[in-house]
Amino acid sequence: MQNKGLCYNLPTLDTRTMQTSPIPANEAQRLVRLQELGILDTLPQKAFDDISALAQMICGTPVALITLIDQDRQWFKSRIGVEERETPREVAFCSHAILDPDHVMVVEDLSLDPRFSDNPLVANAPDARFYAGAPIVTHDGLALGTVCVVDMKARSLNADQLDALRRLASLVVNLLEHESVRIEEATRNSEAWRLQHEELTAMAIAGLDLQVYIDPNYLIQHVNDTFLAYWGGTRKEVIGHNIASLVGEDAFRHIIQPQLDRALAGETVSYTRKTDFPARGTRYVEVALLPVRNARGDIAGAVMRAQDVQETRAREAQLQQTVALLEQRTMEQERFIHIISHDLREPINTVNNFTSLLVADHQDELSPSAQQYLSFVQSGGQRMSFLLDDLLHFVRLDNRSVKLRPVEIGRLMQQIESDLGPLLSRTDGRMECGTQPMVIADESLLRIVLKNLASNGLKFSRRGVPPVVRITVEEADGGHQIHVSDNGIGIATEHLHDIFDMFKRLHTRKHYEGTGLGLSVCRRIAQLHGGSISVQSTPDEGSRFTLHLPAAPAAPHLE
Amino acid sequence: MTAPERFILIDDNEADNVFHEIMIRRAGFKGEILVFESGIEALAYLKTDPLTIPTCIYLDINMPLMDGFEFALEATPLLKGKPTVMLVMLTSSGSPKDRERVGEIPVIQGFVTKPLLVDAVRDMLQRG
Repeated sequence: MQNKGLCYNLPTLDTRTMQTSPIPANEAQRLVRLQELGILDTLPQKAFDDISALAQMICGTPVALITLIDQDRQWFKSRIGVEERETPREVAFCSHAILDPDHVMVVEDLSLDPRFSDNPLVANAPDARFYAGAPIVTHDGLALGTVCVVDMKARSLNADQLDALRRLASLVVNLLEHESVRIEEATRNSEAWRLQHEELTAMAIAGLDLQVYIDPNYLIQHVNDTFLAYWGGTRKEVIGHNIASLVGEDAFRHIIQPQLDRALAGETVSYTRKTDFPARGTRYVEVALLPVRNARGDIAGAVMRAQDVQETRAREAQLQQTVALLEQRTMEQERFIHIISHDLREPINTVNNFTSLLVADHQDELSPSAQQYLSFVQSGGQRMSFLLDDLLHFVRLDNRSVKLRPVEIGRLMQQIESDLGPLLSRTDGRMECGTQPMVIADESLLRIVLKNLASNGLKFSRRGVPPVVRITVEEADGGHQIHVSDNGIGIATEHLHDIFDMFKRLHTRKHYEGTGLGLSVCRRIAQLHGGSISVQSTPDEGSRFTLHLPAAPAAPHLE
Repeated sequence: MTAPERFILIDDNEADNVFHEIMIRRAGFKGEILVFESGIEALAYLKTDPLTIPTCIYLDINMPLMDGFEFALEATPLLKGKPTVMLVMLTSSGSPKDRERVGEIPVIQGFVTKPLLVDAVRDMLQRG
């Protein structure tokens, strides 16, 4: 029926005399909706063509159209009897029909209607005479276009025909709105699918592990970037090739194929192997083979994931070496303790034992110089003996666990006072310790600290000033501070920072005896309690050492 | 426990044995002092001795071949139920580990850190 098509020639349009198309009040919303529906310039669809065919049949006209009025044009969603896809909006009869959304516009003779008499489609070929258009109105009242019929002769439609035209227009609205929802959904779905695909791809490609998808014929189907970085080559060179061509026939047949076959039989397999990667050298990898099933549950291939554990392996080996070394050191240290406690002590005991016998029994028989030599031997031997005691304390602390109990300082000081009896009488010194609160500490370790500090206080006395050592306990932050103060020579400020260091001595032996280990033993013991030791001192007035014991003793730690 | 009428010194260090003997004498002891330089010899002797004389054994810990603890374990069947014999360990170190082991062996009744001095022997003689 398209042979009777409307024909017009745009250059001949006389826009000076022609009536321009009127604009509906809700034009802006109307155009927005038209865009949103996404119907303009779509391909012909059978449902719409059926509607125009029905309109044509019911009304018995040569032309039937489904028109949509765009900003500057009238576009045909479906057309019978017209070849053009669209016309300028100005010549469209439908531009007038949409002004009254509630009624079908019928013009029985267009040539008699002042709105259309000079319309080129009326004035010239195809000499249109009859028009009837039912507005296509959305559920919220926007007239987008019409279902219309056109004839080349003046005529009319009966009430049934007009009603049918109206129903067809309403059908178009339903179709349009349904179509729009469908398009929207499809767009949303495809967008979501695209995003998911992108994310999955990115995940597979970006992983630090080597990943390869192998099909049941052992052909490589996908690889990630890490896989390529290790094996070298491009995707093109790898994909579609047998995995054996990469790893080598031998490795494939003996290592990979048996495992791969298990995975392709549905088992998840993992193993570790040393692999020679062309681009990375020999690395330890932990390999996992995971069967992949399609929607039907059949095995479609296997994903091989290899994690490079070379560094972890190396660190493990290093750690084991360190542990072995530490064990050896510990054994050496135990041997060292043994040497100190037995092998060195036995000979020095013998020297000291017999020197004291010599002094006690035969001193008078010796010449003055022999007596002097003997006294050097005696004091040297004693010093060695003290040194061994202190050394032994020091190294034993390493293997010592701290046994915390409430300790009564007063009682402990009485024991120390009796230990230090000879020193007290030699120096004419005195120890003071009133009633003090209980402290929580390892008693035998605390005894070593307090004995060391007290004997220092007695030894480092000022000439002509009998030494007095005073012990006080102060509660601090839920823990305790034990102060040991003396009235001795004090310590110069420049030495305060390093007196706790091993073998630090500030005085010659001639003036003050000592091994240089006592205070570092004290510091170790403080640390074993999770505490610390500090000192305040004024030269020629005295020193005050403070042992800080924390409230809840932390785990013992050493430097 | 009666005061010892006999001392047995077991120590591989000859100088210590000499010194300890002097100390025992200086504490005023006039009786028998037996000296063994190895636990094996001492054990052999104890097996032949009726152990009826009140005896104090001073036993060194650190000895080659058989140390003091091994000796104490070997001698346990001989010394058990013999209140006349007193076994005292001598140590040069005062090591806490040694102290612990002494506590684990019931037949050992004392622990002295070397050198053994006159006062310690005197205490021993005044027992009972």
